[in-house]
Amino acid sequence: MTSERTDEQELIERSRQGDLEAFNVIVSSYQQRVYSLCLRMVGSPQAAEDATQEAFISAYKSVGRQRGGSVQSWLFRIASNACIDELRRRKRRPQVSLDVPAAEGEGERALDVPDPQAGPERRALQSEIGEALQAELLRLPADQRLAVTLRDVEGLSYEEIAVTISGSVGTVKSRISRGRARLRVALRERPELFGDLVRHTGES
Amino acid sequence: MLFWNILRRRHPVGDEELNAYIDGELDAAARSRVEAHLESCAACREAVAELRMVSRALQALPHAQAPRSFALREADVEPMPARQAGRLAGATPLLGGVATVAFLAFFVLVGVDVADRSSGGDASDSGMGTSAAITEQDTALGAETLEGQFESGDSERGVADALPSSDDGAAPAEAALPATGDDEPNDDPSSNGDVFSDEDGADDTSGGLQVLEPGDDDSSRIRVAEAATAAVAIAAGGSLALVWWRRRA
Repeated sequence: MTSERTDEQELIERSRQGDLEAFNVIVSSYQQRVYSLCLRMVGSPQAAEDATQEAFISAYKSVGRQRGGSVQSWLFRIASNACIDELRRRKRRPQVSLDVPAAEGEGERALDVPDPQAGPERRALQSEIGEALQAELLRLPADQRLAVTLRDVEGLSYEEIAVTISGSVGTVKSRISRGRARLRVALRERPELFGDLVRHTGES
Repeated sequence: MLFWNILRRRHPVGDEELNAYIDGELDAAARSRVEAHLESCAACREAVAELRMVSRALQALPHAQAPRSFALREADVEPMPARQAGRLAGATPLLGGVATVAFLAFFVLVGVDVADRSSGGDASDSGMGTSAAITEQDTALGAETLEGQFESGDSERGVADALPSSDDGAAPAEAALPATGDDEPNDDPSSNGDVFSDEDGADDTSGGLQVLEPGDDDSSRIRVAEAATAAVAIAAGGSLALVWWRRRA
């Protein structure tokens, strides 16, 4: 872990001097997580791809300001800003409506890539619940969506989320709490999914 | 649902705490307090169960595969190389400092200037008039040195200021002002006769130049300093805005 940190800092240092190759090592080790954060934040694969690309470009441009802190928090912060910009941009000229729940928009189908390791039955269920959840997630205010995504999708601690959003742990607590409360209400309103959810996550 | 939420608000354990409990973010004391409460509160038990479900369902969302490599190419970063961005970003505190100091200096100078002239309302107007007169003179009296022009350009204004209220805190040297032959240009209204009065003011100030020098020199320097600090403030503020804008873009 420590040596990983040191390696990262060395890569950052080299990137700062204009070494694109060094920066691309960082890109390749974080692109998966950054992309999945963006996908949950913006809701469509195309927008997520654009936001991820933008995030890495602006990370490279501002690498001079990355000093010693967690590279992951730094990248997630940049990525969440890129997502908010991307959402704003698409709102201005909406080719893909982001408010349409995934189940209704054909273009949004690709959202939920089923886990290839799961059995067929579980996979179908996963994607149904997944689509419903993603749609509800998109209805949350962006700050709550970000907090919930960082916690449950990316698995960050409250402390790490606070660093990422440059806020306090208190803010993180309240955003997660409000976000989950809304998701809970939304899922309760869909008893058919909710029942499945109880069966499949309740006992594990 | 609403009723439920209202009920929860009066609860000893709030939603935030329940979520923190689920997330393992409570210390031992808080955790056992929540657990003790859950023993006796069915609504909170249900809330915990459902919130935990929401959390697990989110965790179970498949991690979508990145559709491609996001490795950057030179072309992606060409318009704003990292080193340049770093340099600009590094200069930010300096630019901020310069802008602040220059803005402050500008207002201090304007304050000094206005107090100095004590000519009330249209301080900025006559200021504009004077600088216009200076430019006019630059072209008209090419032979004069720059400083001489400022002095002569300012002379009638200095006198105009000194005359109406003779006790405006002028330096001893300026007390001699009314006695010099400078009353003459003052006959012109200082607002519209600037250029002309300066033209003929030019010869008679040659006599009064030594007497006028200290006070006038000061106010013209203040004027120049005002313009300079304003320019520096605008330049520094502008580049700061540019850095900020580029960083956002």
